[in-house]
Amino acid sequence: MKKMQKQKRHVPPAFLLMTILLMAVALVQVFPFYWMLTFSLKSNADIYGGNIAGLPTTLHFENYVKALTTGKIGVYLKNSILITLSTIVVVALLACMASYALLRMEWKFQKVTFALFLVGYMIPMHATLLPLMKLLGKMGLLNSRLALIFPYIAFGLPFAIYILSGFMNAIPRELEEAACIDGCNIFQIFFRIVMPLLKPAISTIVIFTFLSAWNELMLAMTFINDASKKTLTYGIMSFEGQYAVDWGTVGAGLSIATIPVLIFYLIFAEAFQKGIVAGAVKG
Amino acid sequence: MKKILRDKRAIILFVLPALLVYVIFAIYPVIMSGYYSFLEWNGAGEAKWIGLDNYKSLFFENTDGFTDALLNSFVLAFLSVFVQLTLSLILALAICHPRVKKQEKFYRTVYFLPAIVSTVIIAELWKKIYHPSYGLLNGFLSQIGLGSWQREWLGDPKTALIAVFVPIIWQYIGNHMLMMYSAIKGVPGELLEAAYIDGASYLQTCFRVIIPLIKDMLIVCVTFAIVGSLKVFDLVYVMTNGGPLHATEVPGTLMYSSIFMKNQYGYGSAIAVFIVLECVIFTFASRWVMYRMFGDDSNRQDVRRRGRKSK
Amino acid sequence: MRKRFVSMFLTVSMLSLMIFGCSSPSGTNGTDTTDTNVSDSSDADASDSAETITLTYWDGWADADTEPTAAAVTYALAEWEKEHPNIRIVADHTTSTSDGYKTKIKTALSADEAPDVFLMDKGSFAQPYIDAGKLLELDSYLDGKLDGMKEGVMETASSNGKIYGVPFNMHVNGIYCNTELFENNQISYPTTWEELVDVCRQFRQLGITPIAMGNKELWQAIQLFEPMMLSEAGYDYCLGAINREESFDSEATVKAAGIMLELAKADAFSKGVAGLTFTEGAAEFAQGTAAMAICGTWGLATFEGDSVAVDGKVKIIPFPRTADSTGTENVLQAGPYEYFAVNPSCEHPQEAAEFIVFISQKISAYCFENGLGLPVWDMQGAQTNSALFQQALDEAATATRFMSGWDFYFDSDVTVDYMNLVSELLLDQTTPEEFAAQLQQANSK
Repeated sequence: MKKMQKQKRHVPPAFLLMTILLMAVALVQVFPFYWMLTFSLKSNADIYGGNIAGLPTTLHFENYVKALTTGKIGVYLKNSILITLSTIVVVALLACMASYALLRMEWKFQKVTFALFLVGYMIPMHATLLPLMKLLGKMGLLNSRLALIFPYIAFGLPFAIYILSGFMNAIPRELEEAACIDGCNIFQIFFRIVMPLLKPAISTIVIFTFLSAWNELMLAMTFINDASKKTLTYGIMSFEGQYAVDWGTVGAGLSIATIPVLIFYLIFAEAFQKGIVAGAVKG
Repeated sequence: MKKILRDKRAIILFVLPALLVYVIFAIYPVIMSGYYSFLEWNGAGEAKWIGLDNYKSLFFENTDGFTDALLNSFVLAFLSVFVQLTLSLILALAICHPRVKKQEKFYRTVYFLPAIVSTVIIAELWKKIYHPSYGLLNGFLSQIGLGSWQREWLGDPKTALIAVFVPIIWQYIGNHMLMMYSAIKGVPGELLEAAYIDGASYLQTCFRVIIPLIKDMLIVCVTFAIVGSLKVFDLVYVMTNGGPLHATEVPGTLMYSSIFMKNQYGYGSAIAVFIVLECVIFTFASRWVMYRMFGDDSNRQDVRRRGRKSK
Repeated sequence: MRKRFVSMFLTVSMLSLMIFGCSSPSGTNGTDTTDTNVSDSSDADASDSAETITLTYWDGWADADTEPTAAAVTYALAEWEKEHPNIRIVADHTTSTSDGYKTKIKTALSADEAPDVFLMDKGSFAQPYIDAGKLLELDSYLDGKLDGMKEGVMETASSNGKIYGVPFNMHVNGIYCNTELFENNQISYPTTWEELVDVCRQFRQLGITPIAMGNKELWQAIQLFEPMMLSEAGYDYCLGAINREESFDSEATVKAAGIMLELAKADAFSKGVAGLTFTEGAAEFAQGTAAMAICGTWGLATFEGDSVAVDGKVKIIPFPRTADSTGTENVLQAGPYEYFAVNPSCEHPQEAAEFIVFISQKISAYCFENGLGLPVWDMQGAQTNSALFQQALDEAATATRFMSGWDFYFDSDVTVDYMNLVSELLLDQTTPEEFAAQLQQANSK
């Protein structure tokens, strides 16, 4: 590798090579997105006919019309947003609070409790389907949005706490000590000093929690029987039948469902970028 | 300060809400699965307590190819840690290069795209890439004159396993990249400046400053990669469902088919419990090994191995 | 900056609390539910009056375009609403893809959270739940209501002489042939297994896929293997062997497996057959690039319609017979596969029984008229509007006996082994003798 200095004017060949490589990777990574969009405008004949990477022979916008008009896509969208947002907010808040107590505060069982939280990431969700359904049934929560929100939170927490642990350890103790000397109580230290420093971690958590809650299918399919409470991902998968699949419409539905994710990702990735810059300026 | 950090009331207030939700909706169901794993139960009728018999047949009788499934998941874990994470790290470091500042946002967004796209789409895409008659891969091979390399990728027990693992590894490159990237972005700018002033190249800065500082995150990533591989299910289920002839079976698919296809609730739950235990052991073992190798203290030279390689 | 961040966070968490507050659980009977088909939520208020009762109903057909039965159900539920305004149906339709509905109903039955009325697969799928008392025994409720039901249909929904459900349509399997490819290449339709192998060789030489198939889900290959078994060994032997009264390790099994292997060696199936889904295999036939497909009336809609290349060029032929077959037995791969069952904890079993008989009749008639399935009730004077379906009907008329897929007879765990063994034949990875021995071993666990 050539030396690369920051202020050179001309473009060194190593950098050119790197750009070409990075762009090539970018092409590969953008391909599924391109594929999804072309897929959503194709007919089944096109999709099965060997036209894989090409553009649709004719644009089948009716796929979108069907995806938008069959079922209650507006209702599904609202449910998905409600469920996902509640999950995200609760996971982010509870995970920050818990991981602060688990990693920075001092008490007897903190190591054990932290380990217990990590175990959650290792649970295969399918095995919990029956016990969860029994539990939710007993609690009278089945067929409500809470039947999804609670498990999503429970299964989102371990990941979030684990990610936070990677960040929490990097926060200098001096910051807390200074605040303490300034007379802050523990809540002020946490909300005013620690939470803002966790912004990059929080935005990462938010993005991943969003993805997993938004795309979750099995619980959404099993615990909800009421069309007015179903989620978007579930609604889209309804276009798949046992012996026939309307792939164009599935693709259109998934494209529609991906737009909120993309927007969300862009907003949060941006917010976290800004958060870092702001943090760096303040030192 | 000590006193503040030992404030019992605050600790309870901070931990209890998360712990309650978590224990009720995640731990309790697992404990129930643990209970089922001691039963012979078809999910409907009377359950019979059979003690450890399910575990016995899991380990010693090998009636359904459990050992092969386990080995398959180890192969995936190995590939994830050494191929996937290496690629993720290279990408994350590359897009943090000061020269690509302008395109950084573009790269970051684009590299993460496969993680945003639904698993269904990813599976369909790869099924079309592998399609034996008109797939992109076979088409590409015949165009560059390697027609003899064409295979029935997902339909051939010899190639199916690797064919399924490639998309899994590829799809999550973006996830790990994002986690590493966010950690790199947390590295104080002054440290990087100082390195440049000392005349270090970006590559040297990476090894001497950045990688040691994001070590905690790297360990988190390794753990996720291992655990994710051991309990992998979704893409395998959609792409091959463990077939053909059990060639792509992993513990996750075996568990699913035991519970939901074969009505062997107890046996399937035993696999689930095994997956959890296995993941716990691997997590702590890998953390222990990594901290032993690279030190628990972020100031230490913890990338000796890599450093030597680059010399 | 920091303050705003924290306060934003707190505001959002307050909001989430409000969301929690709003979405108060409605309980499992869901009085505030709005359902897709039958009535809107304003009716729910009427449930206060003593006359209106509510039945919850689940099935596994979500989208009418991909699950034709969904259209029949929509029609049947609308008819029910017209005639029974005071018995409200709260319906839920789950997609069957990736075993979605099966996973859901199994889990719900195990957790005692199943609805009043639900769709069940017959045979070994339902048996554990029947044995556990999770399906209501319907004999007393159905008294006199089954007049006009075709003979033998109720057997499929019975266990130990008791009735546990009401079937609503039937399906028949056959070999679907692309007439254009057969006629243009002057190949005649096979009537014996030897001819079938020969036909496959000829098509393969022409560069045409002989038999389009996708066996990723494992159930399509057995639909070709079972007719081989039936023509080699006969109905009684096959059923006896499944019921463990005979051994599969026999000459007949070896012969049948031999035919399947010969087809595999002749490269008769789609490239990469073990990695393709049923829909991918069927698509090859629908595109007109494969000569034959193994299908049933359940998948018929895939091969009809303006956008389908083979539309109007499909001929259904019965499965071949053994050349030296002497018997007159003509066993068809057919039968009702599913039925509607009632939950024992349903508070209105009489009404529920009435409901399933009613929709069974309506679905049966609708499916017949639109070519979606054979009727289980006598259809005087009714006509079907699908030419392809008429062919299937004609084929069915020649049968002396019916037998469904063996996955309905074998216990669930044997089924998985059995399907994998047939898959080995398909991939030419075993010998007929080995296959016969292993099948017997799998069924005697």
